[in-house]
Amino acid sequence: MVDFVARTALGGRSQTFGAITMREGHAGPDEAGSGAAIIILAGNGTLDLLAIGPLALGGRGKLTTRLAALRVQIAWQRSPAETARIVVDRFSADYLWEWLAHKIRIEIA
Amino acid sequence: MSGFRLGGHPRASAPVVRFHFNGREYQGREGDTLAAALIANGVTLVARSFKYHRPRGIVGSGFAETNALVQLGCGALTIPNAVATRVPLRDGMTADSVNCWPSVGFDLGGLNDRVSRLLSAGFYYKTFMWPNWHLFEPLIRRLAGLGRAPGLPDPDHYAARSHACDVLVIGGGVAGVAAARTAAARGAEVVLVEADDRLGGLGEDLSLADVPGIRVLRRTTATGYYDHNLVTAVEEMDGPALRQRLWKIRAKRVVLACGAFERPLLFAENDRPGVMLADSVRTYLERHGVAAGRRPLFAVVDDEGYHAALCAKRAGLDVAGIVDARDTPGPVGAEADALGIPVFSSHQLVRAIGRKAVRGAELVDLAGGARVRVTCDVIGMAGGWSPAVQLFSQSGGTLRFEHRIGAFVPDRSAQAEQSCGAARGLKSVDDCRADGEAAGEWAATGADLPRPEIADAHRAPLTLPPPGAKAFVDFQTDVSVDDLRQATRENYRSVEHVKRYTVWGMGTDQGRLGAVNGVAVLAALQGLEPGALGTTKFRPPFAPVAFGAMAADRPLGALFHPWKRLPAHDWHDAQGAAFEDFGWLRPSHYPRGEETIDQAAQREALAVRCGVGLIDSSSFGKFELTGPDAGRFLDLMSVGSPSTIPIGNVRYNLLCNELGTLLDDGVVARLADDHFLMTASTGHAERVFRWLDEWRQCEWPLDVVIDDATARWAVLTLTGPRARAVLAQAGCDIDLAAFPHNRLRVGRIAGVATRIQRVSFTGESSYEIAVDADYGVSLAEHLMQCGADEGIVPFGLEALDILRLEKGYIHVGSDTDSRTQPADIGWGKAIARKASDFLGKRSLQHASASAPGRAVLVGLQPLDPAVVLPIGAHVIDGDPHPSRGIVTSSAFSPTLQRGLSLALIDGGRALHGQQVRIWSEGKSWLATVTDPVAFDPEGARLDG
Repeated sequence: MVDFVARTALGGRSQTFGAITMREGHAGPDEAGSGAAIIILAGNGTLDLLAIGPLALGGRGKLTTRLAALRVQIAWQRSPAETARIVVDRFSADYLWEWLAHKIRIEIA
Repeated sequence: MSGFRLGGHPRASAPVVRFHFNGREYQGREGDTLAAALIANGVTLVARSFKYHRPRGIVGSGFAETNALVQLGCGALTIPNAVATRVPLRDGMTADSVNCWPSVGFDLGGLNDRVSRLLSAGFYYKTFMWPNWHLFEPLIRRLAGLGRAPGLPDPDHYAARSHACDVLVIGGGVAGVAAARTAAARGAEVVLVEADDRLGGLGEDLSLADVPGIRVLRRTTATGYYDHNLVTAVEEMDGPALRQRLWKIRAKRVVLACGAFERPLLFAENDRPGVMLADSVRTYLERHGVAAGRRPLFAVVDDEGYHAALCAKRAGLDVAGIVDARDTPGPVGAEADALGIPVFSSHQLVRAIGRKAVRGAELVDLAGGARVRVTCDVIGMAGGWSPAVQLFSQSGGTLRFEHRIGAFVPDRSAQAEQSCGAARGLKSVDDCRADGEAAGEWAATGADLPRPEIADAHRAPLTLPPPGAKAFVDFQTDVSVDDLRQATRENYRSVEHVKRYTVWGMGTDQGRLGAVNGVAVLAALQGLEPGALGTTKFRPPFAPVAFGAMAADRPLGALFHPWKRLPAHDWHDAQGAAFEDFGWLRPSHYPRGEETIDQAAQREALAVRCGVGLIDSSSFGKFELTGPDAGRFLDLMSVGSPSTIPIGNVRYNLLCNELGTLLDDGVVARLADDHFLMTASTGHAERVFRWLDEWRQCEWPLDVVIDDATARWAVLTLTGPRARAVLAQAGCDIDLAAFPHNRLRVGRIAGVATRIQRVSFTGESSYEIAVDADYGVSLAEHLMQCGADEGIVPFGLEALDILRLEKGYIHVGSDTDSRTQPADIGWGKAIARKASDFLGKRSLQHASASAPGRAVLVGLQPLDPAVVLPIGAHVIDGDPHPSRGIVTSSAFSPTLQRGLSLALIDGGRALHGQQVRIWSEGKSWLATVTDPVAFDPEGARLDG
């Protein structure tokens, strides 16, 4: 009998690009079983990278937008460090991860 | 032209930069543009014109250049048609002239110039019609175009940024800087974009470093102005890691301070190398410390044009004179006299002398008619200034002709935008600064302050060169005054028509130098005022943009379009799956050894028919509808009546659009009185969800909630005669003996919550087992382990396609087209039975829906069982035209050992049992028309 093990969409991935770190986050209580995957970006420049810098007024907030042609929800905060928590359909999480990694590599080069 | 570098200028002591032009090494100085360095090296001839291959030199500076197009670099990094006046010089740079062979100095294409009388405007529309345009087309296509597009993938990287601000100022000249400074002082968040690497425009360097709240983007060109004040701009990065960044800037208000372009003059041979814009001669002197020649002559239409001559004289050049068509120059004439510059008043420049370089000019005395020859090596043209209205026009604003400057200026704005400075037709630095401040005040506060008026100027009127004189209106596309005369003779009246007939303004510079002159000439030829004729529409982009920049957020290669991965993707990968990418990465087959895709599919399909197989169905759309009106809503959306489904039951379901044509198929299961689960095919899932939501929101606001649960579940389907046996081994707490086909049960499998539906797309006993997506891999491993004794195999889409084809199960979109209605696939009775309203009902009750001869779905069995008919093959009567239908699906059935197909055939139902001929690409086959279901027509195997 196989032991059933819960595997998240990105298998707990984590990667650092200069000042920005990217890792898979945990689903919150409201998100459990929702089929969502969580990607967390942290570091200065995160909000500009996601093109929400001018929209992200105040210290923290949440918005729904399109990123890499995918509909996502982004919860962001500015301190202690710029952080964005991106909620995306789990089927598309792998693509979004690779897309973000590609974009960050270009931006920090 | 015998250009040289001025010894006393600071640029002369800047570090040396080495570069190659047309294979020869030159030296420039750090800070030079390629054009400045070429002039400093005495290079006169830099290009050949588009049509006549006439020798061309540098005519302007910055954006005001139309001749000096060069091919930069080589290989994958090559850039065609770079404008030499905008290319910063880099050490090791290589540049080559375009549109010439074998060299720019000796170009065989120059023969066109010798026979130019035969190649007038629109000649190819008239010449190459007989016997057939297509005979000449390949050659003409090869000769057309400038530069060479890179033949290799672009290795550069591009980035994109979106930005929002209170005020966007486009242009960093005197007016733009004043506007930005004022707006920032009023507390606005300001972005200023400037194409140059410095601020100040044509004047002294300016700085905004002391002003907080302003973001200055240098070397950034605003290229497009779209609705709702969205402006795109391209920032030149030039780095190895990043070549360009595309900015998408949304501003509450926009200030256009784009400056103006100096106009060329119209005289014979006005395109010869050495004929330049007067202010560009001054720019090279003042900014780059480079003299375009030793003895320049200037031709002017107003006092403004004198300044370049005065500057040249002060720089130590031997100014040959100023040709002024007016009787009396303004006060600036005295200044020229004082410096000893000869002023030829009441004279007109009628011809440039020289072929590959200017050697002199011919003037005519307007009073007496006498002709005078003046020796010079540069001719500076000062034909007045045309405001840069391209972005204003793109914004939707309208233009008006301003007689005081002889050019078009912004009139009515269509968006929250104001033009200022030279872009509004102003000339003096003080006026531009004051205008910029007023525009900045408006942008920050909305206050409309008084604006400086456009100064009245005494200008020489336009005089058309005589017929036969090669006076060019558009240098880049070789459109002359004579071409416009011909277009007028042929009754082309609209500027848009003339543009397309003559290609005037259709080069890479988009008519920046030639637009106003062209309108003025056409207006004179038609006896109209230029304002009555108007301009052509300016469209984005203002300057060429690399495709890479436009697609900056769409990386190439694997990242080009989003993919979706199944929850058990890694498990499929470990099983050796070959993935098919159609948005979803789904296993097409699991090859063993050297198996081909067909061999693997046949093996897998047979394994399912004989035992059991496992396929990942997670990609199907899964929508949960809850609420008291859920059943009613589904009835309205469906051909069937899902509200009548008993709890725990599942029913096949068809969706139509308003025209009654099929949108998708799937199943609906009822979980509770007010709770339904609807599935949709993978390819249509997103569309179906939007479709349901749109109708719920816009047409039927019933008490129902639609939730897309697609990503929530991993679904693995056990199918085959041994499927139940495998599930029985899997620790499932559902009573399988009381679990017939078309039922849904909720329970646990190996302790994990599950929903299992008994539906089948293979014709075999099937169990669609859904668990939380996080358990997808575990479920796959578990089922494979439980099925090991039964010989379970994973199978992919190719095998599934064979299995469903044997059963005549359709793929909506493949086996149907945009006309197919439910009755055409055998579901007419469902419509007849349904009394209540539903989407598409009215169309389905129309007589055309039951008209004889409709294309209906049938099966086809080739007479030769080994034949597999090509998908897309036509069903014919013996002649390929007209086609009576097409083959929609085809495969070789390993179970029936024969080729099988589905087809849409006009009146196909009446043809059952008859033979038809199938034709594709010159081959034909005979096939028998059959019922679509070729295997187990009674469905005995579904209940296992």
